[in-house]
Amino acid sequence: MHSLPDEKIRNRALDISRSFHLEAPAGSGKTWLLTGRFLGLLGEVDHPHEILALTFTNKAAGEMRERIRELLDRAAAGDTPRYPQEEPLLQAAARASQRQPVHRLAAPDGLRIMTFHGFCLHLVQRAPLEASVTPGSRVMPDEEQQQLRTQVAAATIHGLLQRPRNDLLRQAVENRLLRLNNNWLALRDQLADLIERRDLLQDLLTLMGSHPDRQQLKVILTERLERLLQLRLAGCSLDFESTFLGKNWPDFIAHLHNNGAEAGNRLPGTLPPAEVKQLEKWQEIASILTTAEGKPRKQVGPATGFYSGFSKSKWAEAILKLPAETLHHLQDLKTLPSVSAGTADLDALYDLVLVVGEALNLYRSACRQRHLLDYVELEQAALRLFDQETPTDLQLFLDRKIQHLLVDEFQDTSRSQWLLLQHLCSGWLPDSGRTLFVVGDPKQSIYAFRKAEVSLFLEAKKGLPIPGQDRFSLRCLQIGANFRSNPRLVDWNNELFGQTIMNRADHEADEVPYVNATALVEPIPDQLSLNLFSSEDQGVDPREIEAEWLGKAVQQELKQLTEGEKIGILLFARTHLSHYLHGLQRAGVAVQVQEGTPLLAHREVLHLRQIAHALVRPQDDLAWAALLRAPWCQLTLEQFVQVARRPELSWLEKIRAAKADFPVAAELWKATTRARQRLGRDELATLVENVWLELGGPKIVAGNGSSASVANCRNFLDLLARVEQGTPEETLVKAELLLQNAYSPPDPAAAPSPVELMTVHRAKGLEFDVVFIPFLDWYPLSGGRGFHPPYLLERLPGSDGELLIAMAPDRRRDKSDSLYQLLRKIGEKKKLAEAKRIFYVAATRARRSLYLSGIARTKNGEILYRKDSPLWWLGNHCGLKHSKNEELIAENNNFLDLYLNPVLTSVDQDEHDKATDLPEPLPFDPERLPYTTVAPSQLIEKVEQTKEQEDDPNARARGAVTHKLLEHLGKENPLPQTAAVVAALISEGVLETEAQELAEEILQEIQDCLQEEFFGWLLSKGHPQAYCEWSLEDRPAENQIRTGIVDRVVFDGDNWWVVDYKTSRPVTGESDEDFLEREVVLYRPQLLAYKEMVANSLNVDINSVRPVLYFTALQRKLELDSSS
Amino acid sequence: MLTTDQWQKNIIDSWRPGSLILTSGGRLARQLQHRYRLQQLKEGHTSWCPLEVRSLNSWLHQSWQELWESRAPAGSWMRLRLWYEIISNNPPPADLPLDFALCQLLDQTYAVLVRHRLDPTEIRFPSPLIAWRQHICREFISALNDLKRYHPSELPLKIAGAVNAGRLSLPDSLILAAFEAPAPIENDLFRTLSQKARVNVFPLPQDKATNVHAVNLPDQEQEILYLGQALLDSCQQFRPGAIAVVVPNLEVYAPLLRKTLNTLLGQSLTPQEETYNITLGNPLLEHPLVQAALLPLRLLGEDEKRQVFISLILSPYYRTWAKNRNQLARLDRHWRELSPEADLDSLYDRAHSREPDLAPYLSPEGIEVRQLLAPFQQSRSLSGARWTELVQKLWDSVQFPLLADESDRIASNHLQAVLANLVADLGSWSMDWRTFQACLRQALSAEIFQVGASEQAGVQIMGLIESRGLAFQRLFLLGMTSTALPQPVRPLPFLDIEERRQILGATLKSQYEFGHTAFQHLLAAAPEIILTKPEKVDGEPVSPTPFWPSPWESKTVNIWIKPDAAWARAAWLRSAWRGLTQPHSQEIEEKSSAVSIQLPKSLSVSSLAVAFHCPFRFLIEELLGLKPLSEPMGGLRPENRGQSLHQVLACITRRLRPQYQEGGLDWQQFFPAAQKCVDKVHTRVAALPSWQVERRRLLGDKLGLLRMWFQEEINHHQDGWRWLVEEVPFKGLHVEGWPTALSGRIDRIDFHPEAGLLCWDYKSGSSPNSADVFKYLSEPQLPAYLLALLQGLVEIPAYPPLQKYHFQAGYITLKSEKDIKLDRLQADAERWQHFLETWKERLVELGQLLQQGYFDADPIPTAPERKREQLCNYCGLLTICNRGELTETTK
Ligand code: SF4
Repeated sequence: MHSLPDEKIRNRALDISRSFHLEAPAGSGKTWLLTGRFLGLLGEVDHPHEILALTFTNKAAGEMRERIRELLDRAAAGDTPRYPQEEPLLQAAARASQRQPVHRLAAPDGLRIMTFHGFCLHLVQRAPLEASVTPGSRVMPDEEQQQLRTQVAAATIHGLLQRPRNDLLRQAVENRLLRLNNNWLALRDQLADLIERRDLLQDLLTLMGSHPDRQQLKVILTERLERLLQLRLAGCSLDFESTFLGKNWPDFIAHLHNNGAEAGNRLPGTLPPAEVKQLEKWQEIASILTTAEGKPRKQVGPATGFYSGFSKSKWAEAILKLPAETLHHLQDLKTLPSVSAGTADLDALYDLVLVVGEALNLYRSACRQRHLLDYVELEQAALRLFDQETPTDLQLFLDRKIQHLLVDEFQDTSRSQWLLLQHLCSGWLPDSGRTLFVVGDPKQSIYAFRKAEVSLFLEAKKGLPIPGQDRFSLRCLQIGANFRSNPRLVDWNNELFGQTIMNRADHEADEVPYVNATALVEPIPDQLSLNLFSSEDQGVDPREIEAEWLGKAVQQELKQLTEGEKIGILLFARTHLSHYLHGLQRAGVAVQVQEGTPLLAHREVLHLRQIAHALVRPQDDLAWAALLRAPWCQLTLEQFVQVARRPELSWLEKIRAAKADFPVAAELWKATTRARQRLGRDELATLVENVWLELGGPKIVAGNGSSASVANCRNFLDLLARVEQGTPEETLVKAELLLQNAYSPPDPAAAPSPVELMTVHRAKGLEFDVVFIPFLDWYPLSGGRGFHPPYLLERLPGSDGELLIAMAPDRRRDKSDSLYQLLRKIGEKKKLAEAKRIFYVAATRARRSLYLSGIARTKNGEILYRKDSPLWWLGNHCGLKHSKNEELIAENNNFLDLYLNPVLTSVDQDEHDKATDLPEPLPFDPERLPYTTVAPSQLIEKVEQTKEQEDDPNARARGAVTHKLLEHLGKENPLPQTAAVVAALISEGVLETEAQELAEEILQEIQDCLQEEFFGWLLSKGHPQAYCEWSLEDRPAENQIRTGIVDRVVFDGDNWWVVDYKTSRPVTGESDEDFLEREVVLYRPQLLAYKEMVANSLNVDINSVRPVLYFTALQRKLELDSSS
Repeated sequence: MLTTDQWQKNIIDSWRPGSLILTSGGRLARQLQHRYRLQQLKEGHTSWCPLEVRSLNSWLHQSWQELWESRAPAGSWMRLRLWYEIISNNPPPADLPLDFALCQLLDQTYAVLVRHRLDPTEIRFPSPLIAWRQHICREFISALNDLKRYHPSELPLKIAGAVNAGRLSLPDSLILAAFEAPAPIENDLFRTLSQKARVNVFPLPQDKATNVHAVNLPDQEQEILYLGQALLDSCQQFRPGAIAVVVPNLEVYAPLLRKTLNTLLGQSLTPQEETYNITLGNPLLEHPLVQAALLPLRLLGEDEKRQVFISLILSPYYRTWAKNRNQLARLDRHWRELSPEADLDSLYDRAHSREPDLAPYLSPEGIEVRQLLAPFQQSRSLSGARWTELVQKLWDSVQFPLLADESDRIASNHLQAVLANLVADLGSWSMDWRTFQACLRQALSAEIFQVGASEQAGVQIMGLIESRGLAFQRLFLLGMTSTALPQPVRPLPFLDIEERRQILGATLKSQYEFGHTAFQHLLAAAPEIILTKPEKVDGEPVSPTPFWPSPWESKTVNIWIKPDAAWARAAWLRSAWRGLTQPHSQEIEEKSSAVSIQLPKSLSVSSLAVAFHCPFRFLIEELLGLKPLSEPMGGLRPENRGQSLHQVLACITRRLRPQYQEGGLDWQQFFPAAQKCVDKVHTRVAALPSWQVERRRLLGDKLGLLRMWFQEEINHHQDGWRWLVEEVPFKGLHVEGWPTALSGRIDRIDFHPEAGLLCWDYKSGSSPNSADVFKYLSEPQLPAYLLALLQGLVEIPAYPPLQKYHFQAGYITLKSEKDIKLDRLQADAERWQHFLETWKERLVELGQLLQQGYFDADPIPTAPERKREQLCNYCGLLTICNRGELTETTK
């Protein structure tokens, strides 16, 4: 086995008796370690459920499960290692297979490898009540969550506005509206957003709870703000005291006094302590010693508070020599708010918390009533289990105590997940045999929008804090061997990120220190280039040129690609997609895009959508009109105007009327009418598709576009089918909501292409042989959600998740709140820090080659790139310059090939498998049944029921129970008790209140029948042959089977009496004779059928069979004369 | 080795009249029956003794009837009601809403325990939850006893008891077929039966099938594509009825399968032409007829009233409204103008006042929706039977349901049956409306709806359980992943750990063993078997079922690149293919094709503005009057808000002008005047909360928009400007070369002794900037106003003809307190003069185009692309003008 530079550390990480905190950079084979450790544990534990491995995505969980399953199978099959490092894994797998029975390893939930959310759901489903979740609740898909939040937010505003004017909550919501310049939608969205982020507001909300207290809120916020200011001051004063000026401050002040400089009076005699109440003094120091831009003051005359000649003094020099870090601190101080200014907007916050509190109550009850959960509620429900339960009960949910915990991608942990881990490890003691293994790479923490807090990864290095006990200590390990990338790439990343982009870790911004990686793969011929496009020529959009270049560059790489290799084009933001997609399409590169451009950006989809609108809404004139202009109708503008000017009121009517003049209108009318006739009964998606097909939609769409356009349309139809609500209007509304976040599917014709286009977030965990990273001039702070949020929430640096909140300035007024500015700066710093990590993730996906490209302005030989963009960072690192002869050069760059406005010639593409011809459709004929079955009784009984039902709602039950009783008697049993008949009636659906009386009636009726001569004889014993409820089958005709049950058949020695009991009775006002006549007509076919069946089955002369109807209500028999 | 086919044959051969075959499921019983009949027909019999075969459940039920017991099994609703009452008196150890789903879950738990011969009231593992469960189970049992009822899950026990006591006559012999893994309660029953009668057991055969083919496809979608092809191929060799698809996760695959089979085979036209039969029903609640049935009731409670109401009046199931759907749909236009929370009263008021001709449609046959709902609105307690009656009455009064097909008929009967059960079980229970509605919904979601095709003809698709003991020629096993077979352990939240260990399906072991035997039986069910599985589900890799370790062949299906003869049956693919192989460009005619349409004699300046923005939009919206449906929104509509602000300002300037002309503006007079004006303008809406907020926005607690505006006016006044007149209408404005007369209304005109006249246009949102006015020439209001002045179309008594003065114009922006601006754009009157000439040229140019019928879909050609795109993104006409594709900013 090759020895690895960090082999010892890797082996330690596999020691299953210890707990570790492992930092594993991209490509370092972290999964290998996790798998090895999991398998190692499987070979030791009593039950696999003692191990819990948590990941952050289903994909990661699935991959890990699969890898482990595969190794277990291979070990079982005695497979040999495919590479040296695999050997220990196979050995561990073999041990595991011996230790665990097969059903534990093979069962889907045998190995607990799941996402945090999956695990929470697992717990909550097993203990819904303890978690106070309605049993059977399901987790809503994202779009449903969003819809519900918006609905609840709207309902909250409406509800609160209905309250009396002096009501506290009514006033609060009015104030919120006013603050937003009475913009209802803005408030609705603000509330919906806060509902989503309620876990962050938790501490504030719980404090305010149901009895909000303005004072209490002020106290909390003031205290938190003071802590933040304190922190900043401490940093600054510590640094300042270490400077020459700081060390000799009193002399400096004395010098100013002696020379009558006014600054002497303004500045404190001694350096003030780093206390919040001293903030103003520090700010004074900052503004006297430095300029507004934060540079050391050069103009040090009387005008700036000094004396003329001061510039000659050593003190002036000392000011000029203030180190950059100190200047940075002083500048920072100037912008700090005073405590009073920071909490000035308290009233607004107070109103907000009141309104949010109300919105949350509504939201919770809405979720509970609908048996729904969102992710926040899911996590909180799981946490509730631990709050209340004793460990024994936890056992009840988990079946077995968890002994070993593994957490993958630990850098993406959120606050609630952190809490969950603390609960899971609560009571764990060092060397108790229980282990925690967390692994991740803080440099790859790019999920802040999912509430990931990279600071927790760093925090855990000190061990996992567990309330009420010592931290659960973790041994920190770092590995650095890189199995993925070319040495040149690895070194380049080390240099770029290690020396420049991640060289200093500002904790307040959640920046993380860089750890160097060591390449293990052999060097291979590669490309590592920066391609810059200048925007000097105003005429053309440089982005267009970059996109065109990208298309051609990918084309060229495709030529070099060997079987199984892949190219990845990674984007910083989804909105960049359309630029490059067009470039690639122009170059004829087939590219797989998992989630492409917005579905609504495709015209064919917009037209298809209009079909849905028109079908559902006759009142939607625009939709109807649009149908005529769809590519599958092609009405010219002139014709369109003619239709428009018809006298009919609605467009639906206009089109109906225009049928005669325009064949397309006629076709359209035919197709839509057919669909509208089924509207509300069939699925909307089916009806829309039918109309589209009838009008030749797919043909036109494919002809104008490509298979991709047809795929877009089908994707729209699928979405419509997915959201079917049972009523067209509701289906349409739901579909519209989903459409806002729907993207075009992969082009089916591009499916075999090795080129993939995706966002960096999606590419995390993947690797490609060649990677392109365009749009290097991406500015992370531009656009995006929360750029100018109505309030800001920021974690207090160094706190345990406590937040500071600041309200955005009142929309109606200009007043800018300095706390808001302060928090905004912190937020932006964090965003930039994450952007650096996103760049790192992108750059480390490449195995062989990496192409970077972007746009920069070049102005008289200077390159001016977007500040705080990846390009800017790269530029700073290499010291990019613009040479005389229009070339890009770098002061400090040993790796990167540089090109300015490179031009590539396109290479001809080999056509990817184009479709040949559509084969002849296979035939298919529906199948006919081999025979049909008829039951003589069916039809007639229906008629009987309907007739009698009107008179006696219990007729059916009476009939059924009487028949059962007669069968019972026929089998020579005594009549049952009334109570039993009551029970039988009730189970036939008779109301309890009516059953008793009806039962007595029925029993009496049967008694009366027994008194009657024929009936008495019929049920008497000792007939030569007799049957009850005799079931028969015969074949009256080819492929027909007749099946029936005859109530009673008795042979008297000569004749076969075939009797059918009837419990029907004359309807009100009907004479017995009329009734009997009606019944005979009704039952003749049935009885004659029975007659035949009996004769067939007994194989006797049909004339010896005598069909009889017996009416229990009248105690009368009626023999049917078969001849008549 | 024994196959299922042979096994079935053996069962039938061993049957004699007088003996009874009991099967684990109804489907097997029916297949045996069918097979027997075919045999009779084949042998040419004309009459025969029917095969006595029953599923265990139906036999148990029938046997219970024969016993004539005085205790009846409690119906599902009676049980739920008991649980409901018991829980309301013994709330669970958590603050949860008491609902029927919880009751349902408890009832299932109770049944599971009984089936496993575990005593629900026995304490094994004391946790608060279990203690609670045990307590309420005790209460439940005693409640059942009081009512002389028992839980249906106890039926096997009762029958076993009766058999033991000799109270139930058994057939001469019994054949037990396919009872693998019976629950303990069934085991006991079988033991008893075998003591009392001759019992012949036929365990299902297990087979190592020889002809098995396992295929791995990238995802579920391709798995289905593959299945489609394979099924069609199979149908070329076998009759469809001999082919089956068994899917462990049928509910996951069903929608995809239905869609595919409808496309490839078509729907079954029972009874004559069978294509396929899928044995998975949906909750009755989901049937459109039932959804429609609930609409009136939903109107009482839900937030989304507009959607519910529109769905109701446009529903095809209500005969009363069905015939006037198109007219009634117009109500939607009104409701969209109201806030989404508006109630029916405001809707009807609005409709009556704005569209009187709608009146007859609003209350067809004298029935109006509001009256229908009246009985349900009072919060009273009524018996279940009474509520049911009221609901029925409501439906009858609007002639619900209007049935169209078999599916409707079945659904309607089911609905009636559900109501009947409710009455039978809850008839006497008194409850409020909400509780009744909850019962109804629960009952409807518990009831399963299915339009059954034939089980004997057409491709058969089914789940694992139904497939037990059935025999086919070719069998497809779909979705055979490690997560589908064996299936995951059931959660069973109300059981303690000990109980779960004894319950089938609640432990890894039992699930694994169940899956394993089920799979072995499937291998015997047909001579040819094809297993398929997706490689990934939602991007998550999944491994194959552990029960088939042999290699899986990996395949991909791409009907675009390698079209296949089965999929060539799909109409959409054939159509698309024609398009792909005979490409054609049928673009809408190029943008500059002329249409003949007369411009009106007179045009308002605001319409003209639309023409300046986009001639095509002008054609559609202004000349043809076609506008998009307005989006329903909460709060105030910007247009209403703007209009009222205009009126308020006009009112204030009118009131204050006299003092203003003399002294100057003073705050003392401003405040009362402002208040009076706001109140006057808001009179009709004063009671509406959103308008009350608007009032505060204008008048403010401290500041207020009007105050800030007034401050600006004071400065303006100090510069020597005076308000001259407001809301000045003009008409008959002619510009040579422009075909129509223009009319409009100037918001305000101010006067300055030197600077002359100043026309103002009020903007309650953002105002155009000078580039829009002077460079892109896209904003015609100001120039039009000035021309009206110059042409003497505006007269003010006591002033000499206005055209003798210098003039200029600008916008007064009143967006918010901070966005208040009196923006004169261009103070130099001469420049204005010069600009007017350029503007007239642009107007004439546009006029000529419009007159020739050129209405280009080309917004503000002079403006940057971004601005033009924005205009398109906020315009609803793209599918009519067909200008190039939208950009991402659409989102
Ligand atoms: S979408 Fe654009 S081009 Fe088409 S009508 Fe609207 S504004 Fe004009």
